[in-house]
Amino acid sequence: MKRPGRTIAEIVTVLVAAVVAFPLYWMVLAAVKPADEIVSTNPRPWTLRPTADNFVHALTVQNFGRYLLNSVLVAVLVVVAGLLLAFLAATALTRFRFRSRTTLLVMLLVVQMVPVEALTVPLFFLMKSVGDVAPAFGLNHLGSLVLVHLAFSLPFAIWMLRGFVAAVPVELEEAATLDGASRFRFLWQVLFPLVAPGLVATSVLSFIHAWNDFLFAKTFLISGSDIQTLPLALQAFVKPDQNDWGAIMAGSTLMTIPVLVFFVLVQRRLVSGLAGAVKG
Amino acid sequence: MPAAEPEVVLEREVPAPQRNRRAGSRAAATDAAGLGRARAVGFVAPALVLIGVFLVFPALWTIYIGVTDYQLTGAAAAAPKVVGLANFLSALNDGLFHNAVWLTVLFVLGSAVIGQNLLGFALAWLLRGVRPWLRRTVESMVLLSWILPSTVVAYLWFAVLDRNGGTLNALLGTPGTAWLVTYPMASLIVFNTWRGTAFSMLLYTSALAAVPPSQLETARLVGASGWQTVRDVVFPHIRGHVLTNTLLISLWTANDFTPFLLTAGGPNHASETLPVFIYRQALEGGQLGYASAVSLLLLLGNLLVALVYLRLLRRRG
Repeated sequence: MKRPGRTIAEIVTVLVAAVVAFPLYWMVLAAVKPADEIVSTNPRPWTLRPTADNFVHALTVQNFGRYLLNSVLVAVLVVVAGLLLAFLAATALTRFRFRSRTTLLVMLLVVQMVPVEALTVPLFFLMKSVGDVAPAFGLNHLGSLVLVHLAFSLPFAIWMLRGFVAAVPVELEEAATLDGASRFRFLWQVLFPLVAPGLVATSVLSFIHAWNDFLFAKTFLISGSDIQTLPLALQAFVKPDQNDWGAIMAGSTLMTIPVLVFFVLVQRRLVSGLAGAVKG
Repeated sequence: MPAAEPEVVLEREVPAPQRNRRAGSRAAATDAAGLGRARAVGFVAPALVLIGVFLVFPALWTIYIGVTDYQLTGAAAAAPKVVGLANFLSALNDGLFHNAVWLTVLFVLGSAVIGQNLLGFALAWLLRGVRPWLRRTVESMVLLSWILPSTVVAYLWFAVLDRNGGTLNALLGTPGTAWLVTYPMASLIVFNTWRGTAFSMLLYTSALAAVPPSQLETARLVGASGWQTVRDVVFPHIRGHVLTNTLLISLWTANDFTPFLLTAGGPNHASETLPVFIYRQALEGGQLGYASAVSLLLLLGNLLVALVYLRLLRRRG
């Protein structure tokens, strides 16, 4: 498919990629720059003396490893539980018709428009009460974050997966039944793999939500320094007088790596998944 | 979108599909997977309970707080009184609220409806004719800026736009320009466009793949310009996608809290979009009742936008 416009298109896309990638490049660069080059008033877009000082500083001063573990724990629990619950709910909502189904689906759409900031106060009191019953899911425990992130990511996940489940022909199901597969087997061995692209796209979004969250972590984790998550830890490097840019960028880089790994693992399916979900 | 999905709602529970074809197709109308009512309820219940307890219940609670004079501290904190619609009325007369509404509209129009939409489409359009490895690289870069943690991204832009030693100043040769102070809304709009374009790009890529190549070929043969091709050949095919995309990114942008991490609404409320306004009223001003009332107004605004969108989508057929 040779076209005269191709060269122009390629030049433009390279330029766009450069602009988009620039802040990311700057982050990694600042993370490996020695201290005196970071505060220089005339920053160079490269460094000849890369150093690991900033990483060491971030990891030792701020107990970063512990926070990393906390963040990973919350995100993984949210993704795994969210996938399971959303898959089951989407299957039931797609394949089973009942009177109030449309109402329920509209509700799932509407709750996604609730401004999150507004709920911090009621949720704070709610979590306090939850803590009286089940301490692991109350204030100052990571469980509270898992519950809230699940509740906030499920509506979109169910809404997205519905399209994928609907796209699987019912005939396939009848065929599986004729071949003697149980409902349970059909669900896990036929339907689950078929909606995998949707599951991937959904899990990426839940992961990002849980991993990024600053607002809820700041609201629920008020005391105890070893239960904090990464976004809170990064804040410790921001000081009113002098930001510790080297440590901030090293911390940011560390915080980005798990996202990057996750992303590389699922990238190919993510694109087809998102496309399919919106087409639905 | 399944907006106009015709639905036959049956009340009876019909037994699982049988080998008998007729019974099978009857069952498929209401219980295609042969789940049975009990199992269907069991499948939906855990998700609905979580959403109900930790999302719907606090939301209703917020509506209740919105009609009280509840405050974070002071006498009204101990014994909040129901004040009816007083909070909503004071919002209508609050200059800062008007300011926040206007800035939110500006933010949504500038960064979502125009910025992300156009850039996303342009990228999707350009990337069709580009070498595969280059396309994958650009797609990855754009996606990366979308999935990175907002805290990280906020710090990054903070560093780029910083007054002293900020990268942008160094590049443009404008030392001492405090972008986030002098041009706060413009900075936020550029930032959000950079951040959110990935979604539009992905969506339009898949939409463009559905445009019949023969029609594009015809347009090329009759000598249609690029713009004419987009307007007369491509757009009619992707109208639904454009609407869906615009709705989703508008709602996400309207509720986005990231501006707080960049400018905290400042300087002097110059970048205080509604979510930031709500947060500051609630946690800095302690006006929980008022903040809740404003969140309800934001939610109603979102619903209004969604309704307009559904209208537009229906008009197609």
